[in-house]
Amino acid sequence: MNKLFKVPDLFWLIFTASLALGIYYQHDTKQFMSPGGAWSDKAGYYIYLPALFFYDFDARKMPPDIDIKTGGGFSVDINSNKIDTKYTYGVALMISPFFGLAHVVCLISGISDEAGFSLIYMRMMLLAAVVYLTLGLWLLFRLLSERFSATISFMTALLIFLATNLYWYSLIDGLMSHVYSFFLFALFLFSLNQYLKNDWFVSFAVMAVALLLAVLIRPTNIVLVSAIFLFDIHNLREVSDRIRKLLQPGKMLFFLVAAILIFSPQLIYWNYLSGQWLHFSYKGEGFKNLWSPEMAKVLFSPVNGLIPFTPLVILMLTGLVMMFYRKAANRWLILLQFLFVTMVCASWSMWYFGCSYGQRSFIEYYVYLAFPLAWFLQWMVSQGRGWMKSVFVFLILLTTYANIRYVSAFYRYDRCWYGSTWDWEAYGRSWAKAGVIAPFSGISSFENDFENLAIFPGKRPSLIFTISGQHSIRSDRERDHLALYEARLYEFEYPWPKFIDARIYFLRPGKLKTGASLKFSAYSKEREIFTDVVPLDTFLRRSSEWIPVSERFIIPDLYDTAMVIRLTLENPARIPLFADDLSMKFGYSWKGLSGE
Amino acid sequence: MRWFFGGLALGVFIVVNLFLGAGGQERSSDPFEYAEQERMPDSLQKFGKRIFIYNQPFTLSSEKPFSPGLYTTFRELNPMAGAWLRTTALVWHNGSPDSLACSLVTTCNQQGTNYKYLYLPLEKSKLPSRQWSRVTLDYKIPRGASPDDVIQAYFWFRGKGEMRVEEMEVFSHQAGGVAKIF
Repeated sequence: MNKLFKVPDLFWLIFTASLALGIYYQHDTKQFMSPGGAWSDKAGYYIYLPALFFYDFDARKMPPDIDIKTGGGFSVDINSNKIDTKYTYGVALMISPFFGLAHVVCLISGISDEAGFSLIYMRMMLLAAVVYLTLGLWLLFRLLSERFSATISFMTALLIFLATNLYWYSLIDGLMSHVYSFFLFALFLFSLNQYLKNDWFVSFAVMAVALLLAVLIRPTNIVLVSAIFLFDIHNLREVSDRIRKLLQPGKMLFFLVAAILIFSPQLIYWNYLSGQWLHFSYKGEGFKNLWSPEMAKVLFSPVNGLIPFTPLVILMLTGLVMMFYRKAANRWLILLQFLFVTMVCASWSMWYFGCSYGQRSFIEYYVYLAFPLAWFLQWMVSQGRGWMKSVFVFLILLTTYANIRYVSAFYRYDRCWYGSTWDWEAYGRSWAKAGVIAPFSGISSFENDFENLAIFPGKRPSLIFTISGQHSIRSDRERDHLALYEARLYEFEYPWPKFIDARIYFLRPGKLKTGASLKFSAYSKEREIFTDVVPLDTFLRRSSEWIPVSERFIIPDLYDTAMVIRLTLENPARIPLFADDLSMKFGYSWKGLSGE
Repeated sequence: MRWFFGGLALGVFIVVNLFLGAGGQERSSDPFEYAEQERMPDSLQKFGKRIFIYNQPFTLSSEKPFSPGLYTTFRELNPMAGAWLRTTALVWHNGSPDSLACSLVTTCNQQGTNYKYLYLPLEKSKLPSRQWSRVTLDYKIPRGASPDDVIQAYFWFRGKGEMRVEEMEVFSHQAGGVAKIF
């Protein structure tokens, strides 16, 4: 490769192409305060900078309702005069040079800085993400090229970018923490490698700072420490040698000072916020699934599952198996890291991480998984049998094409996955909407197990009684009517569906009759034109037991594509009633039902 | 060379999916293309009870497009679960078989909004010209959304010219011992 191209030139190419793509993706973001801008979590990471440089952390100086206008990623409490974000300041620290650059641009050009909320800051954050992305990929390439050929190393780095959700979290949601963590992981392993080779203090210092920043951004990244003791280790004796090498007073002193310098601002912020030096900001969240981790969902669910959205991981894991077969160095370290991050995600209360693109918490761990991917690519290249090579080339190109097309043509508009935990039909349809595969059929089903809060119909889920997963609906706490499903006719293909076979589970904790009902209704021009009400008490003969209620609801034959069909749970008396696992099958033909 | 085949396979994949996707947009929007009929199980045919008859001949035209027919409510008919209707009549026309723009309709409706609207488009039946032909439409009565919802059976003439109908009858078929819908 070096004969054809100079490798740094290729990374300049990645940088400029990524920047151009990022600008293209963000061209329709016209406001700082919009879902494409600094919104929700992104605003929570960013707010440290305007809060510090424009508002002196004085909540009363902040623009009115700025927390609501930026999607609730932080809150402004006028009463206590506090700006409250649950995220740490690590990302803000990483992007601060670019924040400063944006400010300089505003000063020189005369563009209004809008006190930190001008669009120029948003654009500069894209530059920050692309810079860290390119540096991360370059460090990864350098790390890999000591073990693999330049071609394999470059292809691996390129695939990690183009065929995984790193693409999304650098070019579209670059204000989230992942591209910065990815860079820090790459920097950490690169400098660790340099340190082990040369024993340079500078390498140690860079490694320590990268480690501390990674832990600051996400405390679970403390698992990186394991690499210090296990990276390129071949036996236990080498571990003890390495511990001795690290436990030198000068290095420990540096590490301590760096830790104090890096963590002090965070402790000061927590003290400002809560009066405590240590503060758990993720209230109501946490590792609630620690004793029943959702491993299968994290890896395989259509709701942001790792493999459904990053199938390249299959090749990474295949490479890891090869590493074990060949007893390659670092196999145990990589397996440990993969199991650890899987366990962390599976234990977290919201295992699908809200409106994500794939399992975003794995992104920084792709630095580790790049090694087995390179192993796999090396094996593939060495294959004598040509057809197998062609098949794998096809699969690799397909995952890359599918990832870019899915992001570009579909997901950047939705920005959230609206489906149930195992709704494969919705998953398949989304790939058809993206144009990756041809449309295979109309909508034939809808499921909602009420786990994904993006399609949760009420205000907040109940955790008390559930038939599957963690959530159910507690209807007495909601409005007296709750829309379980709603669609317009044009969402279906012509000929329109004729009926819906619905099934939903109910639990009545007490013995009182509820007076509740399932109501199917149709609306044309905002006028209710059809209703079908099914009282539930006839079904709910036993209390404290999940009972399935199945019913067929006929869709009116009205040629109005804007007609709304809606299934609601009516509970006018608000007597406690729990609902879970809604399943709907759409029938397009009366044929074949005659013998029922 | 093998790398080239992998890339070529991706190209084929993209082209095939684009082609299939483009084909999917060309579905007919003609509702008569999707008219469907049900067939009553043979075991129920012996349980027929006539609930409507119109013995006199009548003529349908563009001025008079709807025939007399069954008009009842779920409350009145009180059908059991799994009950069927069979509507039958003799029709005569003098046009070409595929120009007979008329439907034999059975439907439920709630304050004017039809649901489970089934129809037999006679132009698809290719009935011979200048002779009487018997047409039949079976209909499985759904669970009524409300007792006051209406059940109807009638002819709807959509064409030009005229058409004659005689011996229009509607039968209700339901097996004994089955729970009632209401």
